[in-house]
Order: sequence, then structure tokens, then C-alpha cells
Amino acid sequence: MKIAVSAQGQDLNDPVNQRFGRCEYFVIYDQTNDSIQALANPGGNSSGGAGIKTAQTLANNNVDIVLVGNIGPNAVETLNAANIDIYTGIQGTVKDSLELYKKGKLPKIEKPNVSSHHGLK
Amino acid sequence: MIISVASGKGGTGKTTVATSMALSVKKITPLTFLDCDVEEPNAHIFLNPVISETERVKTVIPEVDEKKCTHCGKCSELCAFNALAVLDTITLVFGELCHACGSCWYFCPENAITQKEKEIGIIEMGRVRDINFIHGKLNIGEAMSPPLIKAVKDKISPQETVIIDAPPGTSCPVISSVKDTDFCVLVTEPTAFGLNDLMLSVGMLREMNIPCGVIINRAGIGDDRVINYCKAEHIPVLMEIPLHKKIASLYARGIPVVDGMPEYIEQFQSVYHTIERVIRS
Ligand code: SF4
Ligand code: SF4
Repeated sequence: MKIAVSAQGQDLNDPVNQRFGRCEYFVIYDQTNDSIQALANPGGNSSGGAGIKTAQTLANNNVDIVLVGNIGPNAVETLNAANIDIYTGIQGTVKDSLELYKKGKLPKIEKPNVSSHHGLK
Repeated sequence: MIISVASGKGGTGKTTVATSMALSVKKITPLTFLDCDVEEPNAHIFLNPVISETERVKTVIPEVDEKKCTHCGKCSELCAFNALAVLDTITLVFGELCHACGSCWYFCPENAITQKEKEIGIIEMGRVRDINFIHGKLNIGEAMSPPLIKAVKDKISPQETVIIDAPPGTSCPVISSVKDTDFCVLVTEPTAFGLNDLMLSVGMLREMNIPCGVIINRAGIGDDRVINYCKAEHIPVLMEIPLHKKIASLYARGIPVVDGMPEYIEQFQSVYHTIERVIRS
């Protein structure tokens, strides 16, 4: 299982980023071998459709689960099509959010929680 | 001669100015009025045209044949607008982001992409009080207004006298609306916000090489910063409309200023003559 967290930096101790399509990095925790890997988000530079590009990148990197703050309709549609589960409500650092997820404190969502272009405002 | 009326932000009274100018100028010359604010057209509320013709405007978006698609990812790499997501077993098309550039169907190595027509909105044409009236209405949920704006503008010829009500702001839809116009009237308020938005609009128009002039609406509510800026930048102040209870109430009822206060007709006509002189000079 690969769990990606929307983050501002590349490390477990870096703060999370609430904006899915426009976060700087994803910190990916691989449960199978207990390893950490950072993935730069190519969606961040796009003028529009950032969430789509971001979601596709996660799919290409075989991510199974993503922990997010805000996420829009196009990103959710892409993640759903790629069978990536979405959990919302991240806070604090990447580590804090992974802990919350493990304790079952983050709700799973199948629908967007913000409208399109939210990250641009 | 094509005159556009724009403003850096909404709510400055742009449509009141555009419609009042149209009603004043039509007494001098035959006139076509275009409402290019296709996301929220509202000039028809002021002018009440009788619509006699409707046209559907279409654009094309890609359609992926999953039987041929190998999910190589090429199309999504090429698309500058992120309108395509290629996953292991499916390729998703986000039609509302597509700019119809054609890269994806041109370069797909498997010929898996065809073009599908998609309606983005309608154009309505009609007449009111000797004015030819044309406006576009973007379909709900549609994000791509420039192709519809272009279709609306294709209805006019450069020989006509045309007044275009542009959408507010300085983004793509505004640029599409004021593009190829001979002069742009910027409607603003004499406030710090008004000045800020005005400067953005002036910057945009200078880049496009379109001469402009300013109409200050609600004059008296702020200070002289807008006037001083116009002086320093050699931008003509074409008219000042004072903050007036009567004007505000006309606006609220959707009545053009010149209908409720005919004394403004001459002022709008002289704005028109000033613009004529600027263009001819
Ligand atoms: S380029 Fe063609 S074959 Fe490749 S993913 Fe896109 S549609 Fe499929
Ligand atoms: S036509 Fe152009 S903008 Fe539309 S999806 Fe294809 S590559 Fe993207």
C-alpha cells in the first residue's frame, strides 16, 4: 500500500498543504517496506486543470491512497477512475496526518469538497 | 468604427454606460450593440430587444476510442490545458478545459482520438429602437467563453458603428472582447480600488495597442487619484457621472440613464464625437 500526503515539503516533518492540485510535493509512505519517498507535483505550475495532472501523476506512481485537505471535482473524478482512495482532513505535519489516518480519524470521501479553480483563488 | 466598453471590475456601471451610449449614438448613426459578457449578459435587461434569430455555437472536443487507445500518455503530455488524464485502463476527457487546439488528435500514435462536437452556448440577435442587438449566452457550467465571444463578434463588420459591452476584469474573455476594437471606454470609480483596476485595464489595452478613454462613474464618492492618474498618463477623461440618487434608482430598475435623464444624451454624443476624433487623428 502506498499512501501519498499532500505536503509543502519532502519530509515527514514538513507541513501538509491543503491544496491538492497546487501542493509542492507528495510525501509517499510505502507500507510494504516502510519507506518514504517524495514526489514533486507537476500540477502546481498549471494555469488550469492542476488537479487532473496531479491525480494522473499519483496514478502513474501506483499510489493507492491519498490524504488531502481540499480537493475539487476533476481531481476526484480522475482519482476515482484510477481507484485511488481519498481521505480528507489532513493537518499539522505529514507525520501527524499519517498518524491520524492510521487511527482511522480521517474521513474517506468520494465526492469533491471544493469547487473547480478553488486552488487558484 | 468599433468601440468597446470595459471595466477592471464588475459593478462600476459599465452596462449603464454602454447602453446609454448606444441609445444616444443611434440618433447620429446606424448602430449595432454587442453584449460580449457571455457569462452574465445583462444589457438586454436595459435595452429590452425583440429577439428574432437564435444560433447555436459549437466547438469540438476529443473523444477517445478505448478499443484503439494503448494509454501511452502522449495526448495528456501534449495538452497544455490538462484536459486529458491517461490512466492504466481508461483515458478521461475534461471537455470544459479543452481549447480545441487539436494537438491530441493530430499526434495520437494510434489514431484513437476523434473530434466530437459540443455546444457551448447560443447567440441571439434582434432589434430595439433602431439598434441591431446581438448577444451571446454561455451554457451553464461551460468555462470556455472566448470561442463564443469570437462567434458573437463574427456577426459584425468593421465598417459598421458598433458598441461592445465587454465582460469585467482583465482576463481572456475581456481580451477576446476588446480585441480588434478601435477604442475602448474604461468605466471606473474614483476610489483606490477603481484606480487599481483601471491601471490593470490600461496596461492590458496598451499591450494590445488600443487607444482608451475613461468615464468616471459615481464621481464625488472618492478623491482625485483617478483624474490625476489619467492626466499623468495622457488618457482622456471623457465624462464624469456624479453619484446621483436618481441614477442609482434607474440602474436598480434596469433603465438606461438616458431614458430616465435625457439631459445625458448630448453628453454621451459628445463622448462619441471625441472618440471619433481620437480614432481619426
Ligand atoms: S495518445 Fe492516443 S493512444 Fe496514447 S493515451 Fe492518448 S488517446 Fe491513447
Ligand atoms: S484539443 Fe488541445 S486542448 Fe483539447 S484536449 Fe486535445 S490537446 Fe488538449
